[in-house]
Amino acid sequence: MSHVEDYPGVVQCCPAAHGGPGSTGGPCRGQGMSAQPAIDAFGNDMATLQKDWGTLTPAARTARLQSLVDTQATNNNFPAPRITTPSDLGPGRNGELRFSGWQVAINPGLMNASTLSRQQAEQLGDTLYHETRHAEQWFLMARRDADAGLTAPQIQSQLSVPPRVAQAAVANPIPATDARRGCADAMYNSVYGTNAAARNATLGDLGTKGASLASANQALAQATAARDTLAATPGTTAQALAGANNLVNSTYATATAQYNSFQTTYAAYRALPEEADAWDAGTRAAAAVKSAFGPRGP
Amino acid sequence: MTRRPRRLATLCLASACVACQDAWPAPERFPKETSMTAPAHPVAFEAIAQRLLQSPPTASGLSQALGGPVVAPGDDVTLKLDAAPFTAVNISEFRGDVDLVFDLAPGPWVFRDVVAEPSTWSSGARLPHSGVLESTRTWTAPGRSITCVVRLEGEGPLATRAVTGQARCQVTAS
Repeated sequence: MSHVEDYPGVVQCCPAAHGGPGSTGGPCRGQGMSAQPAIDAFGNDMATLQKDWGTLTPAARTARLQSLVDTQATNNNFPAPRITTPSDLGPGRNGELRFSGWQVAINPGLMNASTLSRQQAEQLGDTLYHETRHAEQWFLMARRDADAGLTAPQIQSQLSVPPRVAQAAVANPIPATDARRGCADAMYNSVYGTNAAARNATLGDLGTKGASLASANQALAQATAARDTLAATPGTTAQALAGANNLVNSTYATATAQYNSFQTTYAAYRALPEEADAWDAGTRAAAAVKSAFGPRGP
Repeated sequence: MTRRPRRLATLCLASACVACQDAWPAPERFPKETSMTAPAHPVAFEAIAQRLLQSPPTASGLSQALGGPVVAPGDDVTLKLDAAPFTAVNISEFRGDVDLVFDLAPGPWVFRDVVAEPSTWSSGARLPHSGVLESTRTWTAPGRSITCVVRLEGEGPLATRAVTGQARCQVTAS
């Protein structure tokens, strides 16, 4: 997961993107990790971890996060993903479910920081809960495949999940009558079923348009700086200043167009069933962490 | 008492050699010396996977297969690889599975630089949010399987897509 603000240059322009389409959580809300008691318990544990953070080594911090994930996995009946801190998450990305290895990758920068502020704890809690929720979703899809009669090797191949995850799904298929089947169907249709091609296109566009927006914002910043330098330079002619202003205006128009295009794709991304659900759970987890801290002292 | 290896271990894989210095003694995990063996051709993932498939599916077994040390339970080890495009591998165990994370030399690399047979690898759904496509291939042998993962970005034919980040394998005992 990363936030829209993670795209360079976007931070000033679109805080309203949070809570966008699909933020109600869809057919999975209240089930499994999305149940409020599970979220509240997680919030309490994250608040405790925040207090202990400075006394822990990075390895011990990872172990504590693993323990939080293990608790959620045990209580909600899915194989626990491994917490890893790889170096290749990419700039600005806080976390990522890598379902092929059944791993939740967390930005090592977060783990190596010697202190964790309350706000950072909320952010880390959001990320960890969001990505672990994706693991729960993927396991629901594997259980759906198991109900359809797929063997463990077939599930492993189709969903690109490890053998132990496929085997656990075969041992616990999710029948059509199960209360969570609607959620499993929605996830499956989005990721592997009828909407898979549209999902892949949306995710592909998100990266492409994010990069275009970053470039446009950079061009705007450069044009603005050049114009300001000219304006502050004695002897600058009115003609030169007008030319610089024109460049600012044209780059502003380009950046605005890129922003609008990106926002459309971002809204589509947030509306993907698996993302709407994970964003909903993660946002509520962050609120639970904040609540667990209680009111700030004087 | 543990035995300290005296020589650089070298593994020959298909068209090139993987040379690894033992990581002992702790805590100097990364080797101070490097092999001067310069592979004439890049080592493909398939060759490494085949080598690993012949080894005991434990962190120690796989480490030793790559010329590394015994790995204590709960510990991990990083070995230097002189086998372009791979420069190092970290080996760790998690609840019965062994994870290997390979560092790649600065690229750019495309998929066919890293694997010998792109058409035998499969790609499923993009990862959530990042849109990264992880291409995987699984090999099995009696009592174990190994799945390797290469992260790809961009569009177009799989073979020419850019490889991003690290590559990984997971070895599972069955």
